[in-house]
Amino acid sequence: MNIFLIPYTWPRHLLMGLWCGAAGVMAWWALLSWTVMFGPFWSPGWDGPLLMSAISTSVAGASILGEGNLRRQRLLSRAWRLLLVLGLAMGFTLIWYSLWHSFSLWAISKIFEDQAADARDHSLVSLRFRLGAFAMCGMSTGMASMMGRGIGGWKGMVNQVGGGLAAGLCAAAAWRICIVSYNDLYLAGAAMGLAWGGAFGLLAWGIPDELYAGWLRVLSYRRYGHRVPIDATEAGTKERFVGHFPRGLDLFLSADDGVMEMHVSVAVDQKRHYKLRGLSLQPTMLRRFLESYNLRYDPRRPAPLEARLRSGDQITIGDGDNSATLEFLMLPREER
Amino acid sequence: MWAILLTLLSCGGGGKAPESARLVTLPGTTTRISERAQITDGKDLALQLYTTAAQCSTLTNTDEEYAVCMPHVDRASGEVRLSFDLREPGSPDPFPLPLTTDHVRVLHDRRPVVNNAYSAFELIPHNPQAARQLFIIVVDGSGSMNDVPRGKTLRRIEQVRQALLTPGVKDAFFPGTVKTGVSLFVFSKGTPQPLGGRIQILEDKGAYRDALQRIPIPGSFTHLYAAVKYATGELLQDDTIGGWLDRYDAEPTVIVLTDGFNNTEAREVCGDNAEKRYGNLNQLLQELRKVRRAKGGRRPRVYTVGLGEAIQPEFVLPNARGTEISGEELCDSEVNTRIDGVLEEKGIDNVSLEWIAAFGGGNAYVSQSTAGLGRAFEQAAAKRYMWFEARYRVSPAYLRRQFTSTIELTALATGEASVEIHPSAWLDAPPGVVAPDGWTRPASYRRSLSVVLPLLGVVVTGMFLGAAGFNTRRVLSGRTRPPKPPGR
Repeated sequence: MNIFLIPYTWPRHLLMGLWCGAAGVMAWWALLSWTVMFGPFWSPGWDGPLLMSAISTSVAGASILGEGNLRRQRLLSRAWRLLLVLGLAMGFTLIWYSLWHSFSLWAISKIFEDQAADARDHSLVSLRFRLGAFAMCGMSTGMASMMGRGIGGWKGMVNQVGGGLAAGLCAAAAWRICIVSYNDLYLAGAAMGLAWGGAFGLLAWGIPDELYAGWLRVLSYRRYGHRVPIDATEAGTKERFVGHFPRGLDLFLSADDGVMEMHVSVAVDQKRHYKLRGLSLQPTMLRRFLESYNLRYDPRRPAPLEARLRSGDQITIGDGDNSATLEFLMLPREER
Repeated sequence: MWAILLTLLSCGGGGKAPESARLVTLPGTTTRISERAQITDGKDLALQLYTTAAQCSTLTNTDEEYAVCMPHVDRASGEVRLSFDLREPGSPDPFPLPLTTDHVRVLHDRRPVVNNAYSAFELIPHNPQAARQLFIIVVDGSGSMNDVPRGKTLRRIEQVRQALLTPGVKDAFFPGTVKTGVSLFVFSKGTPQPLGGRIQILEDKGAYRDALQRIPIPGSFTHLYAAVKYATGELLQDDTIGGWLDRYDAEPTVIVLTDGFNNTEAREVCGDNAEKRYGNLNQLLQELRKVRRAKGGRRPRVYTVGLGEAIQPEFVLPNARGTEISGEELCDSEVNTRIDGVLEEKGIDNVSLEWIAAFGGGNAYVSQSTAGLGRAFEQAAAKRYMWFEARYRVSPAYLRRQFTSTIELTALATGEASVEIHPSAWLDAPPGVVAPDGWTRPASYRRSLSVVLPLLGVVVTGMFLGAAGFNTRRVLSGRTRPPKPPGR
């Protein structure tokens, strides 16, 4: 996970899902490889807790490590946070699994005596007796990653723990579908790991907008490729000015290109909304696919016209041969 | 926290290994099997199921044999493979037997596995045993053997002669790879008489063919039980027979052929064969058991061949095999029917033949045709094998829980063993590959990469798709190349 390789486009929302899904698959494969090649040193009753904790641990760890990589945290910080989450995820998963297993055995033996033998059979492949374990272990993933990240209020808690619960249930569904539809317990394990990680990555923590900043980049011949960030600090605001005034402006463009002293500005507010303001009487157009806005300053209005900017928007300043073109891009904040 | 965790796991989630047996993992799978199979006591032979690599490595010579010797469970196809041998009680060495699928029954969780559209069972013998054998053929010489059965053109004795002279039978008696001999006898009343007037052992096909040119039919009654008793007892102590057996360290195999019932006098009824004071079936069976279990003695194997139509075609040997067979059990509704001239006309006493073969460690065959008789002789002289591979297939759903596989010997002798198998509820190795014979062979674990690598490939590709799409769009819209200078 590298923020410089993740452009600000909609597929970025899937990346954590893919990253955590890959971790889930790798955890399943690692445990399976050990079991098949070296043989398990544990009893059959441990198969479930170990697989669940392997997937839960790796998914929670991948989520935390992914975030650390994207935020480019210090290596030491990433490492201790990862270790903390791994330990918490494994502990939570094993504890919740055991509690659930013990409780369900007790409840089934009291309420459904005829099913007690089935419930005790560690080899029984049945979602009916495993659904609770999936849900509990999914929640354990969420709880561990929540504690690794910080609780983050009610919203964060619901996101993390709810995402974990949903991930566990998605894993159960994928596992069940592979068994019922394809009669393949081998693929069922892979699907379980992928679904668990994928759902958790998608639901629990998405790549936040704060990792990106808006940039203005020159597309016209003079000063081609020159760019400036509109990099407000966290929860702050900022405005960058573009014109041909030689001193104090953020982005200088030549007057030969029809650019006025202070032609346009780009502002970012506390909600990280970017706006383009037309400050000149000269032509100023904002263009995007099937849309265009004329932001030429209207002296009859008390304030300049402004429009929301989106990554990839094109700004044309001036007219005809005497014009300059800029683009607005969302790039990683630390891009230089 | 970890202390609490371990305590919880030890009493709850983790569970404990079954106390009945230690479990070992089947190679290449996630399935565990009881290290020690449960051998049922009180049977003729101890059926030894292999569960560990150590057991298989002592019995197999090649990697291929070793691979099929180890138990295997393929849950995707619902197949289970188990290997076993048979041992005489107390003996450490396998006892070779000519087992086929018909001689063995497999039970999956106490339900028999039969060959049909949903399940299948096959027994594959391994390591043929080149045992030296003496075949003692005892042919019924009663008067009825001179008769021509309805719908046939040959006398019964001629049918027998032709069956014994078929190439398959001759090859089975004289395989050429190991020392074998044949001794021919005819029985009717009293002691069976050797062909040619003196006991001789035929050691090649030519002498055998010549000896069979003329089989005398003395006529009279059918002293079947006495003939079996003589062939498995007194005869084996004879200088010629016993000397040959000792000289070549060979095993005696007795093949008895009859076309009727044991009948020692004209007024005898069927029930007498079970209940008369001397020479009844129960006494013969006890004698056979004694001979077969005698330590250090020769242990003859007895095959019975019936020429004609079975009088009780639906008869099946009971599982519990005692030697207290009543007249009703032997004869059903014909218990008081006279044998001579009445029952003999209806068919042959297949029930006696089954009992004799069961106690004699052999098999019983009934046929009306020459070809059928030939097959029966061939099977009686069939190769013995050291160990066997039992493959069975059930619905894969039956392999999604702990189960017990039982292998039971239903013919030649009795023997039974079962083993507990614990598949993992969570993990499974890659499914096997279907071989040309229709059974699944275990797939190499490297095959699991064919799932993991594409999956990871898709994931990694997906992670770069966004960047690739973004850059492609920028290239196509010309934003990555500087524009031309103005005015040009």
